[in-house]
Amino acid sequence: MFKKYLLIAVVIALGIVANAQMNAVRRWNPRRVPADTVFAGDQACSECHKKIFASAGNSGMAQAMEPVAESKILSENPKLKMSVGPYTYEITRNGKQSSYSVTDGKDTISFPILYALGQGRMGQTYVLERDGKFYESLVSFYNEPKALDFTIGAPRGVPKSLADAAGRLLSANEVASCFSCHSTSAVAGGSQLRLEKLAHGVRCEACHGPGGQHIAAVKAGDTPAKSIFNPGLMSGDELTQQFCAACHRGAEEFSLLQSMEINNVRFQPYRIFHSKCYSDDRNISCTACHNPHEPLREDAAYYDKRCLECHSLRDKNAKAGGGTSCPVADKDCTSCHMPKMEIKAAHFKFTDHFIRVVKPGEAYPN
Amino acid sequence: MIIQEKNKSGRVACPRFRKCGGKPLFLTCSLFCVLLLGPAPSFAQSTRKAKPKQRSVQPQVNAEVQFERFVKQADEARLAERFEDAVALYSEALKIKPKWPDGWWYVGAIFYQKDLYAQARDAFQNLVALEPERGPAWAMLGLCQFQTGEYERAGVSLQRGRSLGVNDKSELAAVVRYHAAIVHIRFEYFENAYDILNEFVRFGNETPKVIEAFGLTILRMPFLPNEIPSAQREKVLIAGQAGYNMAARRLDQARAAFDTLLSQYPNDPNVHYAFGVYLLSQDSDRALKEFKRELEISPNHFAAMTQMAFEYMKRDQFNEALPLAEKAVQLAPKLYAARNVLGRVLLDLDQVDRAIKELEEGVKLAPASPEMHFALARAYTRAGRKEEAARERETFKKLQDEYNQKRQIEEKPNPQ
Repeated sequence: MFKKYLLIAVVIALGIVANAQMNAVRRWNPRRVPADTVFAGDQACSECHKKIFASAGNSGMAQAMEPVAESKILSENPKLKMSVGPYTYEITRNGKQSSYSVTDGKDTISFPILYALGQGRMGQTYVLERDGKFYESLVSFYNEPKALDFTIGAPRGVPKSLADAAGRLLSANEVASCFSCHSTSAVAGGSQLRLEKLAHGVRCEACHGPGGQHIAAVKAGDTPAKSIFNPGLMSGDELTQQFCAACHRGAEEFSLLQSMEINNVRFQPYRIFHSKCYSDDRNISCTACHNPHEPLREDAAYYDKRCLECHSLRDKNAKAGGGTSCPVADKDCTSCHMPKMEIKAAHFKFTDHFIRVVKPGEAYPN
Repeated sequence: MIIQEKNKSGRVACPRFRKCGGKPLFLTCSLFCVLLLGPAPSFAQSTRKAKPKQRSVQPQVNAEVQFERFVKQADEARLAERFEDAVALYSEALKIKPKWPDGWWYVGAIFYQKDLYAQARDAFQNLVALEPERGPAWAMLGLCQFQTGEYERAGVSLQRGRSLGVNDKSELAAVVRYHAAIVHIRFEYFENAYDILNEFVRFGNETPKVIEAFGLTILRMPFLPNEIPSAQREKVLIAGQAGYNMAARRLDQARAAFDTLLSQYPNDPNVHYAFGVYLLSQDSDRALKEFKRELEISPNHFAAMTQMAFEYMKRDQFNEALPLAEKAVQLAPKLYAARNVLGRVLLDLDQVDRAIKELEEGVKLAPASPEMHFALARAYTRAGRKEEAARERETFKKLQDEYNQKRQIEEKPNPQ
């Protein structure tokens, strides 16, 4: 009897804690950092959260921007070259620095590479800076051919001038978008840059908000959960379509954009929204399958288990979710229902998160 | 049928080519060829071709013979450009068969071509009563109503024509699109007008009339083109260049036009607002400054308030966003965008019930707006109203799919 009351008390207490968390740190959005936000930095988090800190450092998000000095891609590919019409591009490594240059044979424009965006699984694009203006490199490194090619979305013809050949001038909002999603603490108050505070990649506070109060609460012996944002408490739809979609782009953003056809396969919240099984349930949210504190899992069996949280096996007596079963197979679900779609310009096959019964020869559902 | 003859050759020789120059707006030679040489393709099932199954009574046979004779003579008169004779003969045929849609089409088209808009309107009114799903008929009715000054009705008819379908690449579609935009401008639905005018950009239609309409839209001037005060015409045209280039994403050209506009009309209402809208996608900090400047010039500029509220909401600056959104709703209770931002801000402030109320009102005002349904779905989710949230998400998807389909059709290369 006592155990029963104890259990009820614990459940109620946990409920209060969870509710308090929601009430305490109301909302946080990686793209909506208020102007006066002060981040404590990763090291401060690591003092208590050692295990998560260690694994999160290897995650794709943490590596969304490489420090140039330690860049694996730039070190392993010390000389990259590409020609387009009369223009020749070169990315060269010199010690811990890299430079990006383009020449038409007469004149040369050269930039030191300061910001290398992308973990390199697909590739890496460079944000260049000159006279306070930022440019997106016209060519990017792609991992599959281990070579340079046009940056996705860039015009693929021969540039009109050497200046055009170097890169695309980015607007203030675009610069803010690049740094908001590929780094932490570099943007606040809309599009104000504070690059002196930049931390490479998506670090703890990018998703959990500034940790100063939380650390102070721990030190003061208060309930620490009250003072930090926990995305794990969001509803499935809010998590996917607002929080993760802040960078990975969701359905609403696409309602305002022009069709991008196959290129939109890169934007998983948008794609999954169109799945028949999509709902507000956390079992179909981003974190149902992906742990943001770990490197991306590549084994199909891992994802099979996620599907079987809801779906049944063909053997009705087997232990699985109560939903419909697949008439064809009990494993490798993603190979049929979430096919890899190749974006040739990206030299990469992306998993299409629009979960569906894919019919042979069907056109890509936009 | 004549229309089939036209389709076989793929083009029609126009005997009236030199006479078309004086028609209003876009109504040029080729459009009238289409209107007068044959009814819209969807009219293929002509009653005149339909043979009744039973014709046992002699007077009916006589009437049928007489009808065919009138039609034949009317067609001959029309093709010979004896339009008055043609109308008289079609009218005789319609006395015998008042439910003959093609007859009303021809009569309406001839009256329209003769600038007899009230008569044309009545003919197209009869036609849509017979065939309420015919997009081109509604479109023509709307154009007639526009010419007779019945702008509100024109707006409804043109919208109906567009939603039922007027071949998007036809000249009629361009005429209808233009007038639909003008009606929206007239009734101060500038955002809707801008969306409609954007279709011209997709088709690369950069005519002076379109530029002028863009100018009226971005300067939020609720005028018909012929009502623009002469002292303001130049401003409208500069703004139009800015608006067209902005829609076409030719940002440098848009910026040059805005610079001219700002240097010549720095204290005119709506100039800073328009420039702020241009800046929003590139430099939101500067955009906010322009909206603030607009509020100094026009303190009740609810559109600037709405834009600012959205921008502040994006920055989690709710103390700034909320009063602006509330004032915008107070000033423009029918502006769905204001309801949208107020609802979203309230939701972010965890005032869920109030948020739902505003967003439901927004959905009522703009049932075809995907983002309104999306926002309402979010609010229902937060309130734990799962079924309603799922319903709104489905509506969002449906609207989005429809939009994508329409776009794919538009983007298909023209077979001709």
